[in-house]
Amino acid sequence: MKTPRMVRSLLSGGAFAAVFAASASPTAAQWSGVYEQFYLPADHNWAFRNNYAGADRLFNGFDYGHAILYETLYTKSDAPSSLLEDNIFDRLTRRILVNPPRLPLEEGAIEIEYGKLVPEAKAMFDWAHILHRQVYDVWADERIPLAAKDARVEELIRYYRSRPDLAFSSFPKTMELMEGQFYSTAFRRSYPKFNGLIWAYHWLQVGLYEPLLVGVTPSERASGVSATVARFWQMLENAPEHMPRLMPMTAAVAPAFAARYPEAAIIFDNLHSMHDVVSDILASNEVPRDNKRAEILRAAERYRDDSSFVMTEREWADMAVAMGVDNMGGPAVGVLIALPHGTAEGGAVMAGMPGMPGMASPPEGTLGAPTLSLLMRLLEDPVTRQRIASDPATRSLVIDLIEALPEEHREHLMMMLQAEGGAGR
Amino acid sequence: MSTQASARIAHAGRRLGQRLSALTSAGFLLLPMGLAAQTDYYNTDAGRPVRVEDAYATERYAFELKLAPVRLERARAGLSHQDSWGIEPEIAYGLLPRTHLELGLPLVIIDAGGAASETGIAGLEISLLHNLNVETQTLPALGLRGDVLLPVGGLAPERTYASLTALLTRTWQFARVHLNGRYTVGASPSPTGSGAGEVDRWLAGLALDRAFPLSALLLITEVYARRPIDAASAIEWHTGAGVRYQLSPRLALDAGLGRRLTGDPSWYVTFGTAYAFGLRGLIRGVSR
Repeated sequence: MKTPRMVRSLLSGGAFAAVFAASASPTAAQWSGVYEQFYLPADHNWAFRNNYAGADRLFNGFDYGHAILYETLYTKSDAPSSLLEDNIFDRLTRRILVNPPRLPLEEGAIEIEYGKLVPEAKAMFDWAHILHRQVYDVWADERIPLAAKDARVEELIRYYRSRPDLAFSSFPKTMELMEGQFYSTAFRRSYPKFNGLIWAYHWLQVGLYEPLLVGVTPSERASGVSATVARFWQMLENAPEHMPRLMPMTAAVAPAFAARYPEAAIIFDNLHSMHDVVSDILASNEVPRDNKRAEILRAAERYRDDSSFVMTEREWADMAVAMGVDNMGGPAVGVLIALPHGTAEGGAVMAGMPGMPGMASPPEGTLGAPTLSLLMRLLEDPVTRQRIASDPATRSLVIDLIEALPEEHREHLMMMLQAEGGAGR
Repeated sequence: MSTQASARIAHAGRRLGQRLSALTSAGFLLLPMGLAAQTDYYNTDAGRPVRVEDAYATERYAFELKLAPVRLERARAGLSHQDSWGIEPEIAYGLLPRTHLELGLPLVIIDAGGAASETGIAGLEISLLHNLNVETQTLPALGLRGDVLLPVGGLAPERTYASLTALLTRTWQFARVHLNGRYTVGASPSPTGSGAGEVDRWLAGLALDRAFPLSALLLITEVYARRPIDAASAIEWHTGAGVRYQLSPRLALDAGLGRRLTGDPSWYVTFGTAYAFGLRGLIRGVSR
């Protein structure tokens, strides 16, 4: 039998050369040796997927949303904003999220050109997403006693940090890094609705820890997760009206989680912040196309290091509270009667704090962020919480303080106190 | 995955379905239940289901276990047909960054027709694959793989063969392209030698695949040319196609079919599973 001509031509040496030639660009060769690493093997692996399948699948859908966003911003930079704001937004919210993928996505098959542009940044996101999922696994695994969960999470963070080439810093980064650069806010200005969707993703990704932590029984945790997911869906109604107006910060949306695992919370905030920065760089006309890789890598390095644009943990926690949880989509638990009404304009810039332009002052006569922060810290510590609950005078004082706080925080704090049987005076 | 061993599975016989079934079942029973891991339909392996593979290694610290890759081949032998099958358990481990070590131990059953049949191990194959770089805007992903086929088992070649394979992967929106080129060193087998018939002197191949990420599905097709290690043999052309599918975060399936385009026509079908897991004790700094 004769060799088919097409087959022969495909396999000629010319085919190799053609592929190389088609791959090459006039710019210098871009060599990357970044590599993937297996997640930490443990018996809690995939517990979140097994016990909270609906929420887990939503996260798969979120991964698709991030990937298609970056690919579209990079490959279709001249497309009208309606491509993302209407076409892709509708596809995501009406099809993908309604019937999300059953498995974690291979994002490299979606963000093909973006993945080639900055494989290093893609790997950073992938590595942080693995941490995210594994912390969920620990808290979704009912076989692990509460007392043992902290050690598991600590081990996960240690494993995460064993890859310093990929790990986000454990030091909180200031808003200046996200919002004070020459390209900053380009994405949210051009695509406010899609930006709101991404922030809603981030709200749920950090917020869903909260019902798992504050729920006392398995059924309470399960119903809490359902309620938090339901709140996410509420955010998508009449978009972008009910979507977060500011980047959700873990210390505000999931205060119990942030107090228990501040390092993880900071890492996740840095992760979400860099997601926004990459969107800005890709969307910004101020960043020439052949400079986008360099800018993303510069930002990635800043998010990894422990020295640039850092603030203290206290400043980070206070800032999150001061920005107003309602501006970030509201608290993740202790909700969910009415949607929150933010006081900031959608996509308001927080850089330049403490002035925080764009923010309304809290109403006079109510206790503010420091009190809330203090109460959160007291009630998140199990020993302190137990002492407060067991002492009638202290308990009464704490309840007075809670009742003087803005309404949206009260239910959550009372629930925390109630966990020790101390909600009543 | 070892490709030469996979191809050697072409020596097999009829009337062995029951043995195949039993061995396949045994393979599944040996799966390490309870271990949690992730495997990836998107990272192709040679022979699963086509011979041309991508340039990427198994991720660091991951084991990938292939216990039941089955291949059934029908070849024309004179005026009649000869059916053949085999099973080739393999395990790969992400030993270093972008580098995996792989061991394969193909079990071959040869039935020359009638009552004559032979069963045995057809060599021990050891491979080391190193991915040089990930794909970027200017460069495709490049990889190198070294294989050594040792004369272990009754149906193995009579001497050791070593080969080096260059791997290349390039992705476009419409598809991904893989190019493989391999050369094997080692003398031609003696006229009475056995087990070397499917060893390549060289092989050059191209594969195209298209992923459907929302469905965790990959379609792949290939064409390759090879010259057998026996210097007297003519160049052969083959083509094949298949599918890889992620069944769960830990388990991927593959299936494929193909045929030889030149010489005596033959065809094959293949089916396999890949199960990935990790061992805490092998990860630096992690307690068991």
